[in-house]
Amino acid sequence: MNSIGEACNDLKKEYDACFNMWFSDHFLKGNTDESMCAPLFKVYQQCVKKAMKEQKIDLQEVSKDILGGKHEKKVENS
Amino acid sequence: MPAMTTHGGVLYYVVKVPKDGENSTDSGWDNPFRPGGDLSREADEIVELIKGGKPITPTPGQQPPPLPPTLEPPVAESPVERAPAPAGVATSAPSPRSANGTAAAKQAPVGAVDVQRAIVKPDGDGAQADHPWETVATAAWRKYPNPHNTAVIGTDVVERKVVDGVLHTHRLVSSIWYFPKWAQALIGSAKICYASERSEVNPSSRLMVLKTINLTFCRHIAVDETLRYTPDPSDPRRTLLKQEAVVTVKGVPLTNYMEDLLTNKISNNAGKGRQAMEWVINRLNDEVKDLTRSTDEILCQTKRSLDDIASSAKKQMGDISQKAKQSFDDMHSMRLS
Repeated sequence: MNSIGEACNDLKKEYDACFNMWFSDHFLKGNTDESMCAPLFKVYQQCVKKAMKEQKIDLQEVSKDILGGKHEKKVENS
Repeated sequence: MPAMTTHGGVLYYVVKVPKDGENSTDSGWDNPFRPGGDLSREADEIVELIKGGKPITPTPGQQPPPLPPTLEPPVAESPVERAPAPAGVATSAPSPRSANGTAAAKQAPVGAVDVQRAIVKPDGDGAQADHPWETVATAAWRKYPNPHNTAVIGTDVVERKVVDGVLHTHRLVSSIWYFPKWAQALIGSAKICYASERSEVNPSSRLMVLKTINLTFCRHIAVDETLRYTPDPSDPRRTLLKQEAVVTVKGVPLTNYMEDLLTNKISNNAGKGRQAMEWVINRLNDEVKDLTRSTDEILCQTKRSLDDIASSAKKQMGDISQKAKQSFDDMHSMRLS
């Protein structure tokens, strides 16, 4: 599955692979330490946020309008 | 409705009948669509097509993605997909029949601009998968790509963190939707729609909850869905899915009509309990087997409803076209006589 940002696809795949392993082998077994995929997540995130900005996708606005703000505090600024 | 005019005591109709190849936007006859707007222009286009004997919908290249009749093994090797449904695991689980539920139709006050449509809420045990919760939860991240929902073209994790042992994830899900050209007048030409999916996975209580809301579709049709994966209390080797979806339509011309459609399609039919659930499951089975039921089906259903609108409109326009012709003929015969 691709990212919205084409440039992020490779980063996403790497991160996803890491996350899936972490999720089943660590997280579900009680190890909640996130550091394993953190570096991959960070670069992937930066790429995605840039892509979202470029494509003018604003999740914050959405949350406000549709969810009535109930998730606002969770929304990360793009 | 043709305008009536009198001339020297002779009553006749003034009606402009769009001719092939002629711009018909100023046709004066009664139109279910609002004059002057996009819909009106679309309607004129439709009439032209009808008169030309051409199909009006869907236009070539806008066919919806085919729904595979049989379930193939999930292709999903790519991780972190948009969550709700386990492609890999749940797909192969043979227990969708155990799903039982009813859908409660909530009749919100019908406003011209903001109409809350329907709540589809399976009750009771919900759907089940013959897999332990852990397997389902893992699979849920890999739902896409899925041959049964080619609409989803991208998923991105926007935010993810573990708080008090619970994994919180916010994902942006991108899908591509194909509408008949006619329906695009209602929904806009936006083909790529975005959904916001927030999820929580609690491994100690074995609970996975996903809330999805579509962002674009976008200003007009909102689908708000919640999925809950929990272990079957009577059998830890199985997983239950509970689902609730709210469909909202607002600011759409023909809102009442859409309301009827959506209500009928989603609520009334589904509201008849087991039998209705059977209907829903049968309808959705091909695409979603099992736990793969999610927002997509609602969206898909909405799309189908729009197809219905389109065909209904086609019919109406046909009638109108017929009436216009009739009037035209009348006028002719009056003139002749």
